[in-house]
Amino acid sequence: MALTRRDFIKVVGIGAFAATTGCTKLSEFMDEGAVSVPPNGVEKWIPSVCGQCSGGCGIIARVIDGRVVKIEGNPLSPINRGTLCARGQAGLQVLYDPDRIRAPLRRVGDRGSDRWREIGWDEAIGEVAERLNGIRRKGIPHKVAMISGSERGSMDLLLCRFMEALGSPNYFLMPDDNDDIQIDAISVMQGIKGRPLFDISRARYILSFGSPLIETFSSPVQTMRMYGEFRGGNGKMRGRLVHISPRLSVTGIKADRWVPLRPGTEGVFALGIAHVIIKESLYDRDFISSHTSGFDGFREILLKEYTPSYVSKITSLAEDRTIEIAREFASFRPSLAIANRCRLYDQMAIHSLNALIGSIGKRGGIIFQSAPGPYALPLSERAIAMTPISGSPYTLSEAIRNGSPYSLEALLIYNCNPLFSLPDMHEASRGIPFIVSFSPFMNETARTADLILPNNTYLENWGDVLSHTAEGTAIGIRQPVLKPIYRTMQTGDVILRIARNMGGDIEKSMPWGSFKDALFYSLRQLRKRKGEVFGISKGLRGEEEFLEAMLAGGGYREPSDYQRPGEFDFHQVTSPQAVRDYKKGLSGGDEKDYPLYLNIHRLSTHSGITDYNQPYLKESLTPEIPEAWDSWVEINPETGKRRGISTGDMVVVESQAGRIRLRARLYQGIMPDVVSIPFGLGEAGLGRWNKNIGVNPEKILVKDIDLPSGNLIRNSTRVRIYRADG
Amino acid sequence: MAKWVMVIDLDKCTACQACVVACQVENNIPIAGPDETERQRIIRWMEIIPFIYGEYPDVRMRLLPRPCMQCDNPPCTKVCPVRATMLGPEGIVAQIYPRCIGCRYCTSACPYTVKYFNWHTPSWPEEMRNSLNPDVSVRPAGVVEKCTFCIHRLQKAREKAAAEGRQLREGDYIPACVQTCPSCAMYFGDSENPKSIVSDLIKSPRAFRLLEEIGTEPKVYYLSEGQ
Ligand code: SF4
Repeated sequence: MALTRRDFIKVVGIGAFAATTGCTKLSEFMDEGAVSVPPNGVEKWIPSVCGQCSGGCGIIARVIDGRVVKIEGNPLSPINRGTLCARGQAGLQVLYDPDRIRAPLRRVGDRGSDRWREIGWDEAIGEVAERLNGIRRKGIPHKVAMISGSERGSMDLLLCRFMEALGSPNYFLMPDDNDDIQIDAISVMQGIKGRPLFDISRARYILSFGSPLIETFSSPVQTMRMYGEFRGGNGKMRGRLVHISPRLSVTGIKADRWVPLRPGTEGVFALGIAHVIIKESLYDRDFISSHTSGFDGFREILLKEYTPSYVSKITSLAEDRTIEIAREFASFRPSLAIANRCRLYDQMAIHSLNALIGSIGKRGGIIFQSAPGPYALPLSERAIAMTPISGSPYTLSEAIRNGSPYSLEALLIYNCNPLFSLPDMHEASRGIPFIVSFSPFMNETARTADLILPNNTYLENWGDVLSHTAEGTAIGIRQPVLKPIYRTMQTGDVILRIARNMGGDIEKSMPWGSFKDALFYSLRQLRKRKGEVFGISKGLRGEEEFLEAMLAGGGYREPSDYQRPGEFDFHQVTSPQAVRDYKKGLSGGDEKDYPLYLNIHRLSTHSGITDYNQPYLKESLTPEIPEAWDSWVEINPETGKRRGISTGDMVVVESQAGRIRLRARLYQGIMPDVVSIPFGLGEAGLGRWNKNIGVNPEKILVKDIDLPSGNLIRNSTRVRIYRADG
Repeated sequence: MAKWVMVIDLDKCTACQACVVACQVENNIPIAGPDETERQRIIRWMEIIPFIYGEYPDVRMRLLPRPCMQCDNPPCTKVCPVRATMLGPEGIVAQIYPRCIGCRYCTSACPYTVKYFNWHTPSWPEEMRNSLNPDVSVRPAGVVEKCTFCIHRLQKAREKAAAEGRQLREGDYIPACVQTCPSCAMYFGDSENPKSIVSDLIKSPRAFRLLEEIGTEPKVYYLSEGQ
């Protein structure tokens, strides 16, 4: 790799030179009284679990006289083995965020007026209990909904149980960035509901269809570790990665090859690859005869219709490309095809590649572990007759707005920010009479609440997170590394107190004195199972010793029971409906008025977290584009030239749904008829490092729901772009 | 005498920036904010630098994590009029803040642009001061700073080994960036110890150093991608 001095100066030199030629007098900078660091003292390392995403990495916090000064990875955790990602490292900026909500708040002005009054916990809890009881007494408890950030552990079970006891079917889990894989296809084609595990470290070839594989995937640190092994770590042979996507992402940069592909043609491209594999008889005959059905019909349609020349017409890629990739994919086994969580039929077409070469249910392929996890709080028995208001969180706003099938009386929001990341929730929220937020941060969603009952941050909380690795299942135990700094309260405790206040059946079905009791109740059950405490294999006597050891080591692990992959159903990939969908491609607006596709890409530093008020992450948004503290739109230089747009210009990006202003950044890594904007900025929270920083590209998405999966399609919106001054 | 060396395997590196943030937290790096960032005054001892080659569609990019190279023949120390930056006995280029007069000669002499000037007294919101690492001093305005290979960790590791009555062992001392690397792409150790991992890795045919041709003798090695 030739890196010349000129390369350096081109890329990084400007800042350094500016710094040396500045003409300000030195004396102006001399010590104005430097900041003193609080003194050293007694040091403790306390194990817990990261809370910046749902990955479940074990952490150890360095605590000195009650101050937390560093977070490291817990070396005993099988998830992350002592390492952490950038978000995990930035965790102290969550705890010490100067703009945290410090006590329960009641809104005193209009919604959105940001006028609040601090109230006591008894008052806050009493009021929620009374409102919910009122709704129950009217016999309409189903009109209470809760949206919860996905948390894979006891807290999720507790909230679910609370909603059941209340009599509402409306408990929604926020879609998780880390689930950005073909889960819908897997569940439809194989009838499997559990989380699939992509055995990346043992694969030799990976075909990524726009997957944010090394940005934010499954359990991100674990995935990165597996990626390191895939690249020849642990003495294995180096695996090859091909990334197919309209934008050159970090995964694309790190890939051995980037194949730019027109948005919405992934499915057809995958079928083209399948065509070649079938035609050249490169598929796994044994797997297909023993684990699949419908292959003959699939084969017939593929051979007839998805020829390289047809695929080339749709995708604009050279025929040779398809043939070459197909041959590589089929010959470097074990190989993996990974889809983004896009349209169901595209996911299915891509996933069928895994079935063709038998990469299902085996090492180096997709592994299925038995679900559910090894422990659970017993769910309450109550049967709920009503149907949920909406089948998917993405269609929730529409249901609320139309009051169909019914309206909502109350909405409870825990550990997520739906007004930022679900479409049209602002408008929908206006029709809900009572909104309660448990957010510790004044984010876009909390600002519309009537009451805020602020949670602690994760470093002040109890909890547990269930995760899977290729070797087994792990439960990381979150314990407070310090006492709550402010007058905040763990939401688990708040829910239990609300239940107690409401009395009756609800109180009876939530019998624990505190969330910690509920947590320990479920942790104690682990002792009867076959696993072990992190770092200790045997020799623990009694329940208390077992619990103590778990807290000291940070968690519990057990080997997996592997689930046999369900029979793989090829029929559906080429069903008439699917074929129609492939043909249709993407809708999303008139090509003449809106000639470009809008692509929204993820930033590893801004995924999976509910609070974006973290300055270290704002400074280092993403490594490939030298931008910080603002959003940008990436434009191919040719496209920019034709419109007279250069890097740094303010431009308007406009769709049928609206327009946003932001800075242009010419980028060679984007297709000429696509522009791309990162997701994660423009969160209208009040934190000082959030406020007025960037824009949210989802505000101009033309709402497009993939009916069979209920997913929001994020890459179908068409836009035009022009200079803001022109 | 030990010779501390870092090796970064670019093939395993995912450019996730965990190293960047770990360094900032560990070393009390001030928060720049939008305005200072715009003025290019942001401080990042460890930084990922993007290089772009070619044009669409034949574009290639490289993402290079760049700490201080801890040159064995450092151009920066030679231009310092007050010996505020100098090569330490174990090969770490030191930055002695009380001596620094802020002339910034070293900043421009460094071919790798790793030196940063403190234009202001760094400040943190009161609430955040509790997160400062007591092992690392906060630099005053008017001095130059850079990556130290987390030398405070070496001191602590030495003290600990001495208290336990033993020699320093491989792995006792690693910088914060290396410790946190999720894909295990970073290695650190003593290249004089023939049993260390780094002494093996730097002999790899994939190993190279940045701008080797200008004779700075960096002690940060990279392993090239794609092989
Ligand atoms: S991957 Fe998720 S859980 Fe692990 S350190 Fe990063 S943010 Fe935390």
